Amino acid sequence: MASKSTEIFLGIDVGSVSVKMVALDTEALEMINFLYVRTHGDPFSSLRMVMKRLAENRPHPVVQAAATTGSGRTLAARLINTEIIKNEITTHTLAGVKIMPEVRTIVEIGGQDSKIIIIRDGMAVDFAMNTVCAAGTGSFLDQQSGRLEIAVEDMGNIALSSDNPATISGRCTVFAETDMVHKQQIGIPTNDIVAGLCRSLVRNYLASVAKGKAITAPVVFQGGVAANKGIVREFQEQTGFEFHVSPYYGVAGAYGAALLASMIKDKQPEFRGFELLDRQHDIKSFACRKCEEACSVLMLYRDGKLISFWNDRCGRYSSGELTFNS
Amino acid sequence: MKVGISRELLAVEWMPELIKRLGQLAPEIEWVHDPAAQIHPQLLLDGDACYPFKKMVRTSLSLLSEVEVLILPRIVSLDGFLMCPNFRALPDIVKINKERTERNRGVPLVSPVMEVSAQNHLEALSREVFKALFKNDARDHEPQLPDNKTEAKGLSGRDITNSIALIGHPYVLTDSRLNNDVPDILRINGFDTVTAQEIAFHQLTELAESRDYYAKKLYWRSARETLGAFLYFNEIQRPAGIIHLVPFNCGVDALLRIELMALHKRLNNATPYMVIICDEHTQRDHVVTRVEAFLDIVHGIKIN
Repeated sequence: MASKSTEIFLGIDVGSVSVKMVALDTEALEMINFLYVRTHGDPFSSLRMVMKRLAENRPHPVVQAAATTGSGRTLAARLINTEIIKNEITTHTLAGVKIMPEVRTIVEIGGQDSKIIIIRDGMAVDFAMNTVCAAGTGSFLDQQSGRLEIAVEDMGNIALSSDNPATISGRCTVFAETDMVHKQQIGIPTNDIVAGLCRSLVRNYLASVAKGKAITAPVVFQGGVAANKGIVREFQEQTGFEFHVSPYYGVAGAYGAALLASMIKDKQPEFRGFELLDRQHDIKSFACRKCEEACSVLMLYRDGKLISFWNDRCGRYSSGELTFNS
Repeated sequence: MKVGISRELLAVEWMPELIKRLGQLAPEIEWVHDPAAQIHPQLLLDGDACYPFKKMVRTSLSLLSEVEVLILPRIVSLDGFLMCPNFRALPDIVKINKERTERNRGVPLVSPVMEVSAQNHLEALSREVFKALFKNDARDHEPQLPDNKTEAKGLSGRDITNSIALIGHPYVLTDSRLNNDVPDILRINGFDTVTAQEIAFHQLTELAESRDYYAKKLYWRSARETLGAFLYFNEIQRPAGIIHLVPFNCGVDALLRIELMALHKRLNNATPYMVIICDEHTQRDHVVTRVEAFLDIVHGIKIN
């Protein structure tokens, strides 16, 4: 997409599996650029790659305000120098309501997280997230597609080609994998196994994540797993509701963050994300011994100079009260 | 005499009164509630227990090397309502694990049955513990009823509109290890906290009576406390939100969690409500995300 404007609102979502970026035109709030990059366990490098791709746009974008979200939001905020840091439940809410103002339920399934958000009058009123179990999330689908030697992007169409989904346990990924191996061993076709997997993952989501929450229409489906048409079909069959896949499903968190950046009226600190490309950035840590919490305090160095602390529960370092030497 | 009672038990109602009365009977008692160092033995029989229970066992075992006697009441019921059965087993589990280690095997445990709902019960319990502590002591105490129990002061007159109410087991609400530091996370985000401990139990149980429609009366004390607090913070004084802290989905906690969620849906204009299952979070950041999202609901963040 070509940039219409040099001034942008930027949203960055650093998740467990991928880094997503969305740039919005500051006048019409139209999405003029987006990016999805796999982290491969290195969010710092992935963020640098995102900045590189953004910087390549012509004319060169000027970031008026930026916001970060996702499990790596604090790290990302330090690296690009923003104070707008928001949890992913709220950013997904903003994204879902923006694309469908009358939405009442947002279902989001990402790399390792899955959520349900109940919306009334454009505001979140309740939510739930998965906790210790990542069954049914994108990383599990990734893992199973690798084992079945099919591309994860093809899983949806493969599932749709089945009229006879195999019975797969959805309670736990370990059981699910055991069932899938068994089905392969007895000769069940791959498309039936994949369709069965989709069915079991949706059953698991409804029984564990959405437990006790009333799904009501309209429903918006966000997160990378929304690309899987087999999962969409199963959601619709098991709930009886139409699931509207967000046009920005893969970058919805970043979209919500960019929308949030556009809403903040206070003057924002200077955006320094592009400095990741040409200046040396290092992160170091130390275990604080000031109290029994023993926080692993993180320090960001730019060109060898200490510029920021975070991850101190008491806030004594990040507020400037204490320094590394003290 | 150095006498130990684990810190977690101090959050249980009537325990502070027991300690106070024992202090009157034997002023020389030096209380120890927090071990200088926690020991981490491989516990016997702890597989099916909740984390609060395991923590109580570990604290008690750790205290053994620092005290002459450990008091570990077998708490059966308080104010006429049953405590979790784990409290009945606590002295046995500590004793079994104590006997397995060479060290501290000789430190005695004093484990009277605790069923207290009135001052005379507390007095009898205090004297029983005193006799166990000072077997040959000739002191002849005048029979007396202990001071009236210090009732919670209540919240009337206090502005709690910018506070988040925390409900659940008292030992969870008061221990940052057990409550995933939720009170501190709320403080960092600009919210005070109020808890059911600030409301008298008789008021909570009266509120809970309105929901005694099960086949049996809701007879667990903590369930009545939690249900009563949920109703109090919805119907009598409204905080900005309510967070229900559940150690894990066990027994009555699982039932109550579902009941409160259903009740919350039926209430008109209910106070925002969220449940955190403490045992399901291994990282503080996971809890921070949920608390921050909940506070966004409280604030009513809406797209422009």
